Formats: sequence, structure tokens, C-alpha cells
Amino acid sequence: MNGLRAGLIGTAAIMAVVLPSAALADKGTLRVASQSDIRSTNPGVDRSGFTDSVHLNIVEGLVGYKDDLSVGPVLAEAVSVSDDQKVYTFTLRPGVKFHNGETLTAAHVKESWDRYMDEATKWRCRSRFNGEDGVNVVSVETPDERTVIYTIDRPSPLFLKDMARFDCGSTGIVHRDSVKPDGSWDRPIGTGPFVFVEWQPGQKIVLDRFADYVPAEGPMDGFTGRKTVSVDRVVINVVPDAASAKAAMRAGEVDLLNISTSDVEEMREAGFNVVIQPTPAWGSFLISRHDEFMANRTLRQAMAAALDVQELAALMGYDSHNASPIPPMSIYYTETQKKTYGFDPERARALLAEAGYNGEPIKLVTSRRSPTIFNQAVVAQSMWQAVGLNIEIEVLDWGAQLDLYRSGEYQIQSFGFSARLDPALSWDMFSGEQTRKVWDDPEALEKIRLLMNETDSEKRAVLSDSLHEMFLDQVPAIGLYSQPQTTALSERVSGFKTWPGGRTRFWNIALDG
Amino acid sequence: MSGGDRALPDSGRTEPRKRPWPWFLRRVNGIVGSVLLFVVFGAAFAGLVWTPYDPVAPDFRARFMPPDAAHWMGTDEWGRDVFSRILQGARTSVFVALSSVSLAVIAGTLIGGLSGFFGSWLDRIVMMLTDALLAFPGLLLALAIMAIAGPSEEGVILALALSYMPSVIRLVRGAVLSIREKEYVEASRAMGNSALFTLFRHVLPNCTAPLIVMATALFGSALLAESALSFLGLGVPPPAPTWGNMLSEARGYFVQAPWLAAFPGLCISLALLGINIFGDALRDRLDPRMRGFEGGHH
Amino acid sequence: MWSYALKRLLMTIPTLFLVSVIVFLLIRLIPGDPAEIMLNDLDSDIALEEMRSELGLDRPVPVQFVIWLGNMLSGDLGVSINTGEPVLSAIASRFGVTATITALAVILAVILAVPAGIIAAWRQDTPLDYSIVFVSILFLSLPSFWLGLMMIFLFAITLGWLPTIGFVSVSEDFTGGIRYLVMPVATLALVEMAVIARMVRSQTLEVLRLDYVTHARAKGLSEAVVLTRHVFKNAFGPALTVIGLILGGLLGGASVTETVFSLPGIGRLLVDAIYARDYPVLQGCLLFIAFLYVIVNLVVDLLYMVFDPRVRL
Repeated sequence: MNGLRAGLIGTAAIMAVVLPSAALADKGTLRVASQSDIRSTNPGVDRSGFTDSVHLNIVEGLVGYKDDLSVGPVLAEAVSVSDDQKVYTFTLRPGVKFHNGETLTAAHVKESWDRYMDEATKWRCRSRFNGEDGVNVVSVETPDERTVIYTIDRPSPLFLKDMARFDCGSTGIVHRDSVKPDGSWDRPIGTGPFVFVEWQPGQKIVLDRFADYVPAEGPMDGFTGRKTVSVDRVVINVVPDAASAKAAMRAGEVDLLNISTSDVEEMREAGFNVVIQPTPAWGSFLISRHDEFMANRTLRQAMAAALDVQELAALMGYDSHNASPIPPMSIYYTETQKKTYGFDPERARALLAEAGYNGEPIKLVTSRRSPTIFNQAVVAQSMWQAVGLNIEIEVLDWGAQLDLYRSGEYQIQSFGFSARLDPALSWDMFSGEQTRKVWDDPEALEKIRLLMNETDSEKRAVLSDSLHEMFLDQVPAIGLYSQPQTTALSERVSGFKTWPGGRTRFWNIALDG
Repeated sequence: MSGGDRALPDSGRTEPRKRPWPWFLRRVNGIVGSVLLFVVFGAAFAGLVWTPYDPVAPDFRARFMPPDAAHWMGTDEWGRDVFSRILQGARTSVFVALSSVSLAVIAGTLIGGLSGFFGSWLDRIVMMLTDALLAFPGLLLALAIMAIAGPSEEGVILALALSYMPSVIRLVRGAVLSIREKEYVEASRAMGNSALFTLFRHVLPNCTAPLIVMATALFGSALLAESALSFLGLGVPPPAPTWGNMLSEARGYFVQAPWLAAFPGLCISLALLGINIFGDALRDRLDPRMRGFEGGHH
Repeated sequence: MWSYALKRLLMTIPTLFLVSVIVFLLIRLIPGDPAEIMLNDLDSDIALEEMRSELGLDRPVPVQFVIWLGNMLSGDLGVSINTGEPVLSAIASRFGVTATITALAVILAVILAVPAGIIAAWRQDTPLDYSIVFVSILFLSLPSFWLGLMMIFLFAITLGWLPTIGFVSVSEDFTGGIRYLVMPVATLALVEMAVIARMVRSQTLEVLRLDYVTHARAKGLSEAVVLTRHVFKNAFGPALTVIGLILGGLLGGASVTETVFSLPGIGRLLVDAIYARDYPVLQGCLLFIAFLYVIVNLVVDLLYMVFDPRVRL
């Protein structure tokens, strides 16, 4: 870190000489504001949702997600799978350069993989590939400079998807010089369209255009397809307060800002272009299975029937609601998945009577982590009160709420799951034996297990559909909507596209003026 | 001044002259301050018994309505009547400020009094704890208390009380130290009164003037601190309104719906104006040597 | 005086130790731990346990404290869980920002408030006095985040004169850096100015009643000389205490102002660390703030002796 500090001071000194005024640097600079900071520059190791977003502009993996949440080649030109679904052969794109000028070879890929699989690296997804919590990668071979062959112990629909996962840093290929001689992380040297320049924690992140980037062919599709960089520099300023971020945008100091849906109208009126993009992030109310009172299924059904989810979604500024954890853009979003609880206050009252509910207070935990997590609790409380449910809202800070989530010691909580990009993972995120999971129905768990290992997509759809029917009936949680991501753009930005993956891509954006 | 006692001459702060008006109404600032405070406490009392609408029930068809005849101060992002929330918020804000200051003053007086009067090891321990508490940002204290006790009005009260207590302790201890050696105190002890009796009967009553002045300043500071805590997400949790959390929520809409911020902001400022002006008048009267104990929260 | 200072410094050691113990226990009583927050809603329990043991959170609290204390005494405050920065360098870089705005704000406040306070007292009960008192009460009555947002609205959005985000320090770019300082410094200075002006006014009132002022006037000295030579010196000493308190409080971070203006100062570092349960940063920061507070108080007491020769310690 001392190196980094020295580097920062050096950069600062150079900037002070080269750039007499900050304003001059603006042309060609995309100015982004973010409420959160990144946690590191080390992909897939020290991470958070926003950290992944930034990393994935710097590094690329062999494969990446596409708009329909399937996986396609990125650094690979082609991926072929053997008939027994155990051998994956990746052919690398020719002429791909690292940020330090070296040309990508199969050896680099293996070297990077070995680093990830080394326990000392602390890669977040190691357990998904060593057999602990998924497949076991038996061998990685490099018969020639452009071919990498992965052999896994059993067929799995998730192998490539796990590899492409955002929280795994997309298993981004990093050059060995990213790591200092003593083995500690230095800076990311990847093959992505942007070069890491500097990070001042709590303040800003600077990325520069990678001049020698060799784009792939094909239209822009998620993280795959052609990446053309037409901005010289991306400066991400950390602006912790949402009101201050909006003010800065109004003052013309920001080009790109992710905003809350409740601010869409306001920002449009202020003349900004606002893009709304559905994502698989799923808003819901979790009902703890460890709470005796909430173990009453009829009571849970009453709560579900009392919620006018469509109205709730509309009040949040969302176009549609979704009781299912499967996101609408998924190929597994079938007619069955569209079913919801059916808003019916009369039925809710009848169910409450049947459940023997007598105005006992029920605690609803929420936090100010996002406006949605808090707002949906306020709206639902009033809807529940309308049928006679006595709901008390308890507002915690996010850390305290998460603690309750992990331990299961709550009654209901207002929650939002980050994106899961496979139906098996979508169902698994809240189902299982662990205390934090809200659904432990044995039949459901067995179906999820089958879904994890099934590679035929039609059979997978059938499994996922029957899970949704069970989910609606047992109400271990109340599904609300797939949350859109909303981005406000200044006038000078053109070509910006959002996608269901939600991770911001700084390529294919143009700036005028 | 009710510092009277059985057989000893009073300690000096007597104002025997009769006046046609209570002292605080005689000076202009006293009048202005009293009127403002009267309005604030009036609103708090009104909020206790009556509000035009339910201050917490959302009305999704009436969001962001500018002030009109039906909603005197408009409605907020959930269609809740701002005027009703201001009234109930007055109750909560005043209650939080009053309770935290009372708690700080009572506990601080006891601790500071005992510590100053008895001295020695007790005094040393108390002073060390006080220094540690003073060196502690009130913010962390607030979060810790809120997180441990659950976020609530009581949590905020406790947090504020704890962060104000050291100043009270120091003030009382200082006053006690200077009074301890006075003849009438020694006389009381000589008459066979117990130490505790002497402390409560003769020593502490003589600290009342600076204490009242300090309490007024702290009351204003508590109103501000409550809004600062809300701003950082550590205040009285919504949906229950306080002026502080209303103002803090409103900052997200300050261009779109300025009335949301204007009214609670105005209330906080008027209340503080009232308490500060009143406090000045009080200070001029009770203890012109009192030093500024107020301070903003940043 | 030096032996007094040394004695005072030594006396701070138990206070700082006490602060460390309280902090250590208190932050571990708050529900939620950094490992949980980092994992968020993601699945692996294995990862959670690994992370906890990596951070040393699986050990008993007293053991954790002893380890931390040992490292701290050898000058190692640990590494931020949230950003991987060494705590010491994080504090150093953030404190630079806080110290800059604080120093400027306090200097500005003193320059404006001291004459205002003296003049108000000198012209007691005139419209001038009333206006000064009223304006200072007005600034005291505004929540600082509100004042800050209003400034952003006026100077950044409406007039477009000043930037609100993208802080550059003055050492990197002097003219650019100054532009970022104007609003936060003004926000802090306005409130502090009010506090100091009121303090100076009441001190001056008291000094003006004293015999030697009457004597000085009787000797035929001009009002300006009386005010600057006799009144100022005696009224400023006690005001120093207040200035010291303000400085001590502000140097510990003006969390609210730093949040409104997106400044990477120590107050913001502290707030972020609280939310992320970043134990090493919290511990380091709080110890540092407590230390600062103690030092500032000491300096103020020493200055007090310089300004007010009646005080002999």
C-alpha cells in the first residue's frame, strides 16, 4: 500500500504540473458519481456489487454474461463442450493485449486460474470449483498458445455461469505482474477496455481508455460483443449522500448517476435522460421460519393476499410486479412464473380469522440501505393495517438488519436480493437448511437440488415452475418485483445502454461537448 | 432562588426588589424568546391531543401536494399531511430534547456534586471517565446505544444525555469546588449535619443558576443534534415524525417539493431562536459570567 | 509550564486507555460484524467463517484487545477491513482534509467574530448590538446540513460558481482546491462565528465594567486604544476555551458537513466505518480523535496562561 501511496503522490505531482485546472480535463472525461466506494482493485477477492462493476471494465474472463443472462465468449473466441459435458475447450481470441503490452496466451490463463485456486488468494468463488460447493475442476491444460482445456468431475449447468459470475470477478484473467513479488496484490493488469489509473479511497476512482484494446466481433450483448471505447477517461467520484449527488448532477458536474426510482420523474423534469432497466435483483418480504408466530401458514397466506403488489410496485415507480424470484428477462420466466398471490382483502380477512389472528403485533424489520427497502415496508404496513394486521416497523441500520437475516431472529423483514443469474441459484438464495434461509420444505429442497444438476433446459423449466406453485402456496417469503436499475445521464452522453446484468459498462459511450 | 436554609445566611444571589412584570417579560428579547417558546411548546402540546390528519398514515393519492386549504403545509412523499406531522413532530422533538437534557442535568449534577464535594479518589475516577466520555464522538455513542437498545426515541435520548453529561458534571463539580470551602458550608458541617445533607441542602442549590443557563443552551443543542443524527440515519426512526427526521428526509426533494423542508426547517430555527433569545435573557439575569456552552453539530 | 504540560500529557494515558477499552467493547456489542456486511446476501457459510477467522473475529474479545493493543503500541493500527488501506495512512490522508477546512473555518470565524463581539458589547443595546446578536443567533439556529444544502443550491446549482464534488486538495491544485473549500469552510465558519461572537460579547461586557477600563478612559485614551489594548486582551483569553472546544470537536470530524460536500475527511471515514463495522478503522479513528481532543485542550490551557497572566498553574 505504501507503493500505492507513493504512486498516488507521484500521480498527484504530475497532475499538478500537467493540469493547471481541473476543468480542462473534462473534455473526453466521463464523470460518474457513486454513493458507494469500491472495496479494492482485486477482482473477485475484496468485492461488493459496485466494486464488481468497476473491475469488470478493467478485466475480462474467458466467458461473460449476455443480455438474456446466458453465457457467451469474451476472451475466448469459441467454447466447445464434450458430449459427456465434462470437458470444456476454450479457444482464445488472437492478438488480445494486456494493459502492460503483453499478448494474452493460454499460459497466462492457466497462471491466472492457478492464482485464483490458490487458497492464499482468497478468491470468493474457489469453493465453487474445488468440489466443496459445486463441481471440481480436475485439470486445466494448455496444449497450445491459444487453447485452454478445463476438465470437470461431473456435468453441470452452472460451470460456465459460475465462471462468469460478477461476484467472482468474472474469473477475470489478470497478468502475473498484478501481484507484487511478495505475493500481495498491487494493481489490476487485465485485458479490459479500461486501464486502472488510481483509487483514492473515499474520494475517487480513475480509469483511462486502453489504447491497444482489441475488440471482439458482434453486437454489444451484455459483457460480450464489440467494445469500442470513445471516452478518454472515466472519473468516478464517491458521493455518499444521495441528495448531494443529485445536486451535483443538477449543477452539471456529473454525467452518469444511478438514481433511485423515486427520483426518476424529478430528474426527467430537470432535463436529464433517465434510462430504466429491469434487473434480476428481487425485492421481497422474508418471513422467518424460526419465529413461532409466523409458522402459521394461513397467517402468511393472509399477509400475501392483503398486499396489492401491483399498487405497491407502482408506488415504488416500477412498471410491473413479480412474485417469482425468476426474473422476467430469463428464459425460465414461463407463464407459470407470472402467477402471483392475487390481491383479495376479503380473503385476507377470512384467512386471518381462520388463522386465529387477534391483533397481535408483528414486527417488520427494515433499514435505510436503499429507498426501496424502506419504502416498501412503509407502504406494505399501511396495506396490512387495512385488513387488520398490526404491523410495527423497526428501522435498523443495514449491518444490524443483516445480522438478523443471518440468524433468522426476526418475524418479517423487508429485503432485496442481489441478482442471481440462474434459476437454480434464484431458488437456492432463500431456500435451505441454513438459519438465514426462509424455506426448508424438504420437497422444495430436493427439487432445487435436481435443478442444480440438470442440464436440459426444458426439464429445468418444469422443476422451476413446480417450485413456484409451492412457493405461492407456502409463502415462505412474499415476492414483490424484479427491481429495475435507473440511471440518469447528462446531455453530453450518448450511446449508453443498460442491460439486465445491471453492471455499468463504460464502453460504447460517446461524449459530445 | 430557593437556596434558603435553616439557620444560615443566604449565599448571596437574592433579588428582593419587587417588580410589576416577571423579569423575563421586561426585556424585549425576553418577550420575543418567551413568545417563540410558547408557540413551540403549544404546538407540542397540540400534537399530543389533536392533529388534523393521522400523521403517519400514508395517502397514496395525495403525494407531494403543495400547501392549500386542505393541507396547510402540503403533503409529503407518502401523502401524509405535513402540518399534522409538524404538530406531532413538535411533541417528539421537544420530548427528546427535554428528556435528554433533564437526564443529563440530573445525573450530571449528582455525579458532579458528589465528585466535587467528596474529592479524592472518587473525584479522580469521575474526572477520568468524564474526560474519556468528552473525547468520544457523540455519533458513535448514538449508534452504539441505538444498535444495542434498538433504534428508538429512548435510544436518542440516552445518547444525547450521555454526550451532554460530561459538561454538566464539569460545571457542577467546578461550582461545588468553589462553594465547598465557604463558611456557611463549613458551618453546616460544624452543626453536625451529614455530608450528604450539606451537599443537597447548601451546596447544590447554589449551582442552580449556571445550571439553568446551561440547560437552556443544551436544550437548543439537543434540537439541532436530533436533526444531525437523523441526517446521518441515526435519529428517531421513521415513520414517526420529528422535526429533525422530517427535515432530513426532505433534503432529497428540496428542489421538487421545497415546502417539505421549509416547514420543519422553519420550526427548528424558530424554536432555536426562541430558546437562544430566552437563554440570553436568562443568562443576563442569572449569571452574566456564564460562558458559551452551546455548539453546533457538524 | 513545561513540567505542567508534561504532567498533563502523562495524565492522558489512562484516559486514552479507557477510551480504547470502551470503544473496543462498545463496537463489538453492536449487532452485525464486518464479515456479514461484506458477504451481504451472498450464500457461502464457509466463506463467512473463513472471513471471520481471517479477521480474527472468532477469538475471544479480550484476546482480540490484547493483540490490537500490542500492535498499536508498536505503531501498527491494522488495516481497514473495508478498503484494505492501512488505518494509519487512511487517518493521515483524511485528517489532512478535515484539518484544512477546520483550521480555515476557525480562523475565519475568529477574524470575523472577535471584532463583532467586541463592537456589539461596546455598543450594547444599540441597533448595531441587536443586529449582531440576532444574526449570530440566526446562524446558531440552522442545522448545518441545511445551511450546506442551501449553499449548494445557490452557489453550485443556480449560479454555477463553485463545484460540489470531486474534491482536490490544495496541495495538488491550489486554485482548484480553494474552490472546493469555500462552501464547507463557510458552513462551518458561520455557525462557529455565532458561538464565538456571543462568547466574546459577554466577556467584553464584563471587562468593560471593570475599574481599569474606566481608569484607562479617564486617562483620556481613545476608545480604539482602550478596546484593542485593554479590552481585547482580557476578553480573548476566556474565549480561547470556547475556540479550543470548537477546534477539538471539529478536528474529530465534521461528519455532517463532510457528507453534504462529499469531502473525504475523518468524520466521513468514521461514519463509513460505523456502517461497515470496520473495527480497525473505528478503533484507530476514535483513539486518534480522543488524542487530538486531549492535545487541543492542553494547548488551549497553555495559551490561556499566555493571554491571561492572572492564571498561574
